[in-house]
Amino acid sequence: MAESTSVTKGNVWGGGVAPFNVSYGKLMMWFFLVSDAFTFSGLLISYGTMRNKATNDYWPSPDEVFNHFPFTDAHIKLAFVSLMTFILIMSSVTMVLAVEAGHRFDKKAVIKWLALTILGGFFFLGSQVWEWYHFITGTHDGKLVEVINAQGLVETIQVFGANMHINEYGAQQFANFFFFITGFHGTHVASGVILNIIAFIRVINGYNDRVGHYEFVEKVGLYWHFVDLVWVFVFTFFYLI
Amino acid sequence: MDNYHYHTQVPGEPIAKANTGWIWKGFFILLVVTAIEVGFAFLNDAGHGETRFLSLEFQKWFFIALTLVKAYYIVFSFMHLGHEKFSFKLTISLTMILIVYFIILMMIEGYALRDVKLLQPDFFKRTYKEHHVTPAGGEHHDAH
Repeated sequence: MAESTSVTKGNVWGGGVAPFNVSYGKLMMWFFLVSDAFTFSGLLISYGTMRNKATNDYWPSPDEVFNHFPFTDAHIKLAFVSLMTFILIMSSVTMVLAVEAGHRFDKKAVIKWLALTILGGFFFLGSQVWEWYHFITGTHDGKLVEVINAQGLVETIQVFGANMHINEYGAQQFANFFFFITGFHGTHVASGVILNIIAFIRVINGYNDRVGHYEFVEKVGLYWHFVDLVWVFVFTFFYLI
Repeated sequence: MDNYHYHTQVPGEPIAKANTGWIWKGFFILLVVTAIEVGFAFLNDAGHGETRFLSLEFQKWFFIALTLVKAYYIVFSFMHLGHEKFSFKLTISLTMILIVYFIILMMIEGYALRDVKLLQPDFFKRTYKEHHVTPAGGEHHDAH
């Protein structure tokens, strides 16, 4: 057992050494992101299995369901969700620029890029809300669906949109998975925006000047990139495949 | 506390010039790859009764491959994992590559389940009375 090693010169088992030469906060953020990736992977794995288990005429085709564009009557498939992907990638880029400015202690640039990242996050959340709204309220014509009513008889009703019981698009699991996966991801985006706002206020208040580094911005940046990464996978598996 | 040393700013020292070339390069790569994905989804459409240019199978694996390219740039470039020590890179990326492998395996499993299900007799037989109720008001909806 080593006796009284000095604080600055640690050894591997005696403490005072950063594994992989990464600071504690960053390492813990990375570990959290890997565990969160497991959660999202579980959801995407179950979605992939369910979706491939269903035949193609039973499972709705995402490019036929998601083809509306806000403020227009246009029906362009995948247009709006591509815009959402672009906005999130753009906000990821502004986040990297904020972290890079933090390395150079360029406070004004950090504030500028963080503000743009927060804006992009709000834009994405608003777009997701619109997607959900349109998914729930449904198309103009709806669809005739045969259900069993309260008396146990087969009844043909006009169904509009999607909810937890019935939907006009096809398999009920499609709606369930859509709500859960995009909702879970949207929650992560929302918490990411809140963290970004906290980082933003801290930079303005001079917290980073006091501690002498911009590592909080870097850690929030890691979380934000993770959110973008998950969206890239959700976009591919849900909308494209 | 640990041997991770922060670069501290000397007060009064001018702020260094920005080095952002690699960031915009990463952005353009992500943009182009996404554009290729969306463009491919558009152009490889089955239309009405026409066959696709490239099969649906190929399209699905093509999208997964492009997604992995995007994931690589986000993790190794934007999240700085490329600049970390090799053992740390392994810790993070090996875990995630195995997860992606799991997703692909389960997708193939799903295909197998679909093929098995088609071979089974239809046991979801309707056991309720086949008595159709006309909708309230007696309106007749055209089935589109």
